[in-house]
Amino acid sequence: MLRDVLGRGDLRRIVLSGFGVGLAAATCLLERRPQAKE
Amino acid sequence: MIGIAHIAAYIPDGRIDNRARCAEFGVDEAFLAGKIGVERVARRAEGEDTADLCEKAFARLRQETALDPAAIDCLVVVTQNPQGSGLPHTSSILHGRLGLPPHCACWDISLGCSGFVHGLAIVRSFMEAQGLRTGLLFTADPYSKIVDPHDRNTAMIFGDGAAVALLAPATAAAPLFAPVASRFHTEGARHRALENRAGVLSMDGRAVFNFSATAVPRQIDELLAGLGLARGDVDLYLLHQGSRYIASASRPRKCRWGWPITGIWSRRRSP
Repeated sequence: MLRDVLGRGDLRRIVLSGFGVGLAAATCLLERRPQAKE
Repeated sequence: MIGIAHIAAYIPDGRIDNRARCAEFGVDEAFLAGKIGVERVARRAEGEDTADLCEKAFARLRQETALDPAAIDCLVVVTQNPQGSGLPHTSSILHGRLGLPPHCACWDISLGCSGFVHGLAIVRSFMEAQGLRTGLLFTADPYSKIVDPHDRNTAMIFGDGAAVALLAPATAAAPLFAPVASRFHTEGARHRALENRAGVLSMDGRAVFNFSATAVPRQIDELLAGLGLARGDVDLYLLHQGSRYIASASRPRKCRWGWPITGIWSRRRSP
């Protein structure tokens, strides 16, 4: 579950996708911000 | 940039054990575990409606954070099963129950499995455009209001519950997961694959599977390509769908993925 990984510092990028009713799909890239410059 | 500061959830205590219903639905436990993937379905208490579920999720959020209700700028409820008859909107009812300030904007969004991702993009855009700092995004669906308990296509999958995401600006002191980019896809001509027919939920599982297995991997790849990223640049894929089989068929291969259903989701690098 997303709530279980929100606090995990080892994860930088997560993709969420939901799909079904509609028929509709939505996909989002989450990135931990702000990030230190690489 | 607006991100997710916290998520709290309320799952009613009531449970229906799917293993005890295998015979009724003509499936075995291997099918239940591998294809459906839901061992127990959560069920609300009698009389517990959509706003009640949201209110309890909000109470958890208050317990887990230092949130000041007077600071809440917007409240959005994503649901396909609104409180009562749906008029007034559930978010307005909730606004009153929670004692939120008059400046707080409230509206409902009618979406199902894709609702959280749609809602996240909508609320984040609204907050950033309006210069708002504190938002609540509820997802709440007491599907038992419309599920036929004897329909094997839906009764073993659709449960009751609510969650609330607290949205706030990310800061150097408090980095948050923030939405960077989103993509959307709708095939409305096939909307009858999953619909409320005269008060009863009906699902064409094959049509939903075919849609998911083709549209979702393509959408993920298009999203990443637009950002100049490869599948391996993402640490974790979280897919929301009612059936484990459909989520599994839609996931990117050779990547860490999860299926966000309480108690049975898997996180592993797929072969």
